[in-house]
Amino acid sequence: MALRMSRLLVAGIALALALLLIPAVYPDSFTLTILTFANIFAVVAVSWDFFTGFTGRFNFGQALFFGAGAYALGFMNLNLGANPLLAVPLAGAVAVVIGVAFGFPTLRLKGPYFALATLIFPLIAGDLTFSLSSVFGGEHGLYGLTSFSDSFVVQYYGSLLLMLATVLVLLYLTSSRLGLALESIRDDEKAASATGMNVTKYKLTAYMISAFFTGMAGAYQAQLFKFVGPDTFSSTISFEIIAMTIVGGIATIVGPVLGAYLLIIVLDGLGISSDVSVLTYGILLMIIVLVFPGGLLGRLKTNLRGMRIRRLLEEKPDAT
Amino acid sequence: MPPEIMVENLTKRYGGLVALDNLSFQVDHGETLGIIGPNGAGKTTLFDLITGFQRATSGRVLLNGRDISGRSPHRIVQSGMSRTFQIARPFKDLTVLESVLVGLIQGKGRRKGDRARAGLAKEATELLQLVNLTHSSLSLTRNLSQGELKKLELARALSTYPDVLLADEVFSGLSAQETNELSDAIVRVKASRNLTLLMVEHKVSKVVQLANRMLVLDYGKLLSQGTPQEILRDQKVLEAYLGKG
Repeated sequence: MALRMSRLLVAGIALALALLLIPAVYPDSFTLTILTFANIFAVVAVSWDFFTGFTGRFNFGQALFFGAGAYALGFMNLNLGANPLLAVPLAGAVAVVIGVAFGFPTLRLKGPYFALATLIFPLIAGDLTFSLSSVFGGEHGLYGLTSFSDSFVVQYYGSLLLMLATVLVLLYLTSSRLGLALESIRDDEKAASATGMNVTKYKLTAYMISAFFTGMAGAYQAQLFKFVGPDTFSSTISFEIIAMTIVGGIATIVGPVLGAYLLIIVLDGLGISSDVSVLTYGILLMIIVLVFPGGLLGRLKTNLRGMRIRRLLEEKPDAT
Repeated sequence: MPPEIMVENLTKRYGGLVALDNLSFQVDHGETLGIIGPNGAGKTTLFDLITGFQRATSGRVLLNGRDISGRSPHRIVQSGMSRTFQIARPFKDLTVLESVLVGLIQGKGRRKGDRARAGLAKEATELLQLVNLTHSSLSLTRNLSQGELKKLELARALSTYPDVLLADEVFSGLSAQETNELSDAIVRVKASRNLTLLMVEHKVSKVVQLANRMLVLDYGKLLSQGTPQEILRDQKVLEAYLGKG
């Protein structure tokens, strides 16, 4: 059953306002750092949802884009003296280029082979940072980067802005022709190509968009930490954001934000150490999948569908 | 003007099995060509080869004089030829309406004149009316009956605005009444869009009624061709279907 559109809009605005007001209520660095993290991971989870939730092709290597963005910012900031804020979107663009390099040859693979290939993408990239250690610092990574601000409040607002912008852009895209085409590929690639659709091109487009936002998230984290290490390519990131998306609701774009907030607040807020975090993720994931099979916000799918149908049918005939 | 479709010495082998053996024929613009043959005669293989879903071992296919063999399926659709699948391939998490919108959006560049100016809403409504699916336009396709899926299959193939339509057993699984409704729809849309139609069909009575020319395939070879009346009297065809009397 669909939720009412107007109520959803009100709820969305109320939530965004609440997030804007948080620093006034909880100005402590602990809370703000956790929420900044939540925003960064929400961006990654939403981007993953945009590609995998809508094309149905499993990407087990989202960390490739995260690390690529992080290292790109580190490199530009250290070697070219790039302004950390300007470098964030540029790093997103670098992640797109890296994404194309890996995605172009592999996205045409049928069946599970693409998913299997994605598992090793971040490992390859991580190894490269070691073999090019004179540029990327090897196991020490790149340190001594500059942040665009040392205020926790400003960093929180920056991450919030990045998260909201990502959600809005990806909501816009999924409720457009592009979203419809991607979902048709997810359902039946052969039938989609029988409508004249170049399915590889569409999948690559979605992969690039996913890379762009995730790369920006990685870059944002790099300037926040003033440091980039090889762990930005770790598979833990790839799997955590999948858990967040499934908890929140796959193919809903908004759901993964809730998933990211929930999992990060539960883990960091309750002080659960990273040793048991994977275990906690697993248990939480199982409970939620059993109780809410489509994720906590799974019903939003119906709203997205309605929004898209209305948009497409209202299009001006001469618009192309 | 060259024939709309020319199939030249088309052969498809799977290892030692010859699915299509040096098949040649042509289809003129506006024709309805019925293709019949016993199970395993190579009918669906032929459609897969023409539409690019499989590659021929040798031989070629020309569309309006241009060689399209080796082109990928989506480019062949963009060149003006679309198909239905024998076993319906619905977009199972999309609604009926969305399924035809996918094709309408992809085929947008192929519509001319008034059609190009009509909005998506009008186009979609017309298509769904044609196949009598308007009442379930907001149903998810996975909830449709076999008959409805067949109708949707036809509507989706038409949504790309083809010049040539390859219909692979559109009537299978339909009731007698649904069969008549759908064949009426095909006759109407063929006339209004000046379509060239290739039909693979098991219901011989329906092909005889719709086609102006027929091909009979048997073990991948052309057994016979001619008007429906000629085919029905052809001794070789009767033998292939019924065995020697």
